[in-house]
Amino acid sequence: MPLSRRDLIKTGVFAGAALSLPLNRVVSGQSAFANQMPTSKLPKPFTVPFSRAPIAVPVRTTGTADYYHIESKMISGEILPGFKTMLFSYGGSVPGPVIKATRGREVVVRHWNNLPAVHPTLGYEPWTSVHLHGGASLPQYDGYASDVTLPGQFKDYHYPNQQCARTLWYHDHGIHHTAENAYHGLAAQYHIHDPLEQSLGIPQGEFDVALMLSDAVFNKDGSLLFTLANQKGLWGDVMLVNGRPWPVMQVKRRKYRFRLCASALSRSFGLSLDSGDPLVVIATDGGLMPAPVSTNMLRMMSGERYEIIIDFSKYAVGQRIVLKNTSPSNNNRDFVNTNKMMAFDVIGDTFDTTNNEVPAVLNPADPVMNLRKADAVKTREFLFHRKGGQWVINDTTWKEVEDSNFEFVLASPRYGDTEIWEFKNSAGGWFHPAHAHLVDFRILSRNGLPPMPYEVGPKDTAYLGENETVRVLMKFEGRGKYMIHCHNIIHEDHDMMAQYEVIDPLRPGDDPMGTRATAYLPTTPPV
Amino acid sequence: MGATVLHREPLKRQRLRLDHQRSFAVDAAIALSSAAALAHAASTSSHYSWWALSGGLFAFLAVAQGALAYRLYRKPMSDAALRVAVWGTVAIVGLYVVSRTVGIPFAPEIAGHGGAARPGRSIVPGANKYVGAFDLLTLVVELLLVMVLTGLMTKQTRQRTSAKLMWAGLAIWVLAGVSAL
Repeated sequence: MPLSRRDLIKTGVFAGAALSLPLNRVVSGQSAFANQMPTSKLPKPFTVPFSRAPIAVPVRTTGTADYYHIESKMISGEILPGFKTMLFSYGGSVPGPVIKATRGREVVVRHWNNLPAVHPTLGYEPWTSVHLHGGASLPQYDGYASDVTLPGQFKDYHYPNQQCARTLWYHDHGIHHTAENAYHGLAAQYHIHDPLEQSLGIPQGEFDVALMLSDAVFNKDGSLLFTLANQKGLWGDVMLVNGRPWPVMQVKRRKYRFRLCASALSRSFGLSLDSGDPLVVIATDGGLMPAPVSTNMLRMMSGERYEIIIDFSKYAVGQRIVLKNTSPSNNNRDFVNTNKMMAFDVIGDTFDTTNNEVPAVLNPADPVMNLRKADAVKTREFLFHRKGGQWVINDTTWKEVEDSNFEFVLASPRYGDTEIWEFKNSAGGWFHPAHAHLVDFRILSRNGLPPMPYEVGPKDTAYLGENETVRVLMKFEGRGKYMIHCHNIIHEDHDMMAQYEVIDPLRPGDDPMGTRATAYLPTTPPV
Repeated sequence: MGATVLHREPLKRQRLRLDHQRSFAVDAAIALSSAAALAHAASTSSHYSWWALSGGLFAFLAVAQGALAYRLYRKPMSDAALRVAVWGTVAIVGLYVVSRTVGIPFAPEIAGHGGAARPGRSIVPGANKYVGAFDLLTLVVELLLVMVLTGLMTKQTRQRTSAKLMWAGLAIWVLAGVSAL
């Protein structure tokens, strides 16, 4: 006998109640966008002037080291004209100040977490951990996710800067809140210079420009809209360059070097010039390439850096050139103006003609680019995927690391060994930027084919597209435990992190949790 | 004329039609129970890696709901057996709702976001889990199964059970209203 109408209503009351509560969680996540700033209220592209990130000034220098004091603090800034936005900043600016380091000269940064005890709108405690992305730091100074600095505490980070010239960036890596912290502004560039890089005649100084590429979405009151309704990621409708929406930069008729750093939470970029001219790539994550590579489209994911040269001498005064963005993946969310990043307006001012070259040879002796596949003693596989509603690497998350008291590792390469690591993404619904701390690697292949021409340089983050397998070659010259994770920061925060340990039988590595932050007091001596 | 013809439908044919309705309901219950069993079986491994007890429970549910499908296929079930099946399924639904709202108090930590984490650690024990499309779909299957199984009961048992289900639903609304869920 089927249910009568009355019985159907009664059982329906139960079914409705049971279904409504979980559904409400989904809908309430989506409703976060109900208060989103409408497109009509956003600034028109290329109406906001470009802004350079400030250069950090050391508080003290010695014969061998430079000392910095950087305070993470909440500020009120103007991203959208006419609106105030609450931001988290390194030293009062978003992006934070660029640290200029010299190879072989140590940098010590005192990072003081002076953020509020509770995030004013998201309600979490904004602890931090600062990772120098691309730096071969000791484990305790590497921004280990669980080595957090609470509001009111500080930690001194030591960077030896033994690596060759490169574009690095420092950003928050605090467990489970990296996305919120980085989204609100805790990110900045860090440049290592060396004699080779300075002797090549490539643009320097005023013509060497740091660009932090990101995106954001705003509430109607101008505050940043952040939601974790979708654990696949967060895609903004406003494209930001150095925290400015679709800025326009005045450029002189000469070559410029742009240090591109993709710092968006989830978005990948496909960059090109509307003039049709190629971008000349001279450096990848780990420094100068063996030789420059011209490309009509440069694909980048969160965490990747490329240095490119654009020669504006070929354009007429008054001409505008647009840096376009063509989404390289269907799994990005695109909006009306996400197809453009910024514009360059060519002006006729006089300029310094030195360092205006792109030599045919850059750094062919880079040790990573000279690693030989035949020297690899082991091949390891890392599967980045989603299982049981969780983002996992080889079926594990950071929880396994925590539960093991930070002992659990996915790999234990020996000090000095060369290995091949295979990063796999077997899914078609998302992409992952695969990042290994400590090491530079050379991309051997992408789905069995040669890497993109512009990827032929030292890297530390690999674009792992849908259904892609990327094989990389690396040599382990540090010691101790280091993280490997997805750099879609939403995935990262949802525990798509693991660690490996470089084993040296003669000398154990330092404990990544061995040097903890301490309370910052008025009596605390300066760095 | 047509109405007259229908009214005069032979008794044997009426019975056949009713048998067909009954068999459709049973078939639906078999399909729903099988689908729920498969969903639990598919999720056993990932739940086991989170918490062994949870993995064990999922394996048990997969077997139990598979057995229910088989039992329904083999022969009609008594009201007593149907009551066990209905309230067992209601218990599964209840556990799911709790896990997606306030969290299961004695469960271990869940990797990822969700609440006030201790510094350097994942979220607090029992914090709620992410609501995904797969588990929402499974929830719908379980709720339909409850309704179809209730429909298979005899009239008196069915009325009593549907009344109790209504009170259970109202209780959920009340708990949600006072933010206890």
